[in-house]
Amino acid sequence: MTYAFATLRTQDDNDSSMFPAFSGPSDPYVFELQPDDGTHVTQFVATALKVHELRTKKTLLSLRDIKGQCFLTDARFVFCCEKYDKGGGWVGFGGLGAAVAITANAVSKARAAHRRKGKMLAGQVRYQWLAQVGGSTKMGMLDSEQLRLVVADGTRSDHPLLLVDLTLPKATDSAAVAQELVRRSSRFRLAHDVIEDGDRAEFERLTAAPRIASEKGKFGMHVVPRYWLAKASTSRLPVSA
Amino acid sequence: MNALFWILAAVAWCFALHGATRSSTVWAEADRSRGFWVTLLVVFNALLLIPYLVGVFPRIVGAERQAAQNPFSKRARR
Repeated sequence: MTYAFATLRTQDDNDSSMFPAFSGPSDPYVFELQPDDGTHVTQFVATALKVHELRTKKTLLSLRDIKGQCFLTDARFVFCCEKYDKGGGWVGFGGLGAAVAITANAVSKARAAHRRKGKMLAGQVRYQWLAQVGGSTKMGMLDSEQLRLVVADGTRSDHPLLLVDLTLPKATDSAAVAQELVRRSSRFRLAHDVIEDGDRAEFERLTAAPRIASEKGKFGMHVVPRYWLAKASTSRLPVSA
Repeated sequence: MNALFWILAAVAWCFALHGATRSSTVWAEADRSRGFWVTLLVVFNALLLIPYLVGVFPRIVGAERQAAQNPFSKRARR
């Protein structure tokens, strides 16, 4: 199974090592919580998702105008989107055109809902996989609040760095999200991973990382000193050599 | 009839104003487009009042409660 941050999940996909699993009817969130996740889960919304490779700039996944639910747990960042395929998009002019467009949109949306049934688009970045995280603050009319996570795909031989860009509503502070993410990630690594003495001070500094303000159109990034490649064998800490 | 239309239109414009002043986080949480619905309410006012009240307004109210708990809201951090 390759890792491209997010994939389509069904109720039958129980393995949550690489991607989150569906929750049961009594669970509080749309994804299944694990013991490591703790009870302090923070939630916010993203309106677009783009996953692309740093080196080749190839886009692996791109979604706009969505309601993506994002969760910060004590062990991972989780993204879930139940309405990833909305349908619609028909436009008509004049009385007849408008009537045709309304009908076509209704049919298209009904077909999209049928395609989505029992599925969700879900992705996760376990904190041991996180290489960098940062926010880009909306400063002009054409900017948007963006959160960027950098993670290395360990399922491919060339280990490409993936950039996971999430667009947040303009009222959400992306730099604050990045700050909280890197703090939680560092606390988790210190508690569960085998950290070399040379890196320990940096991880400890990151547990109280400051909010990094970004310049216009750029990301203010927090860099994690050492990270694991994203693959099934590194999904549980400590990773056995 | 004419008076009733203008009363409904005024109510629709009030809802349009309410919607326009909600934050983007609330609309994203409600999974509805602010530009689309506010424009339709302003232009078609009374005609779209019931679809808005049934399909959008309850979501906006629910989303507002949810968004108030968002610890990353810029308003909350001021």
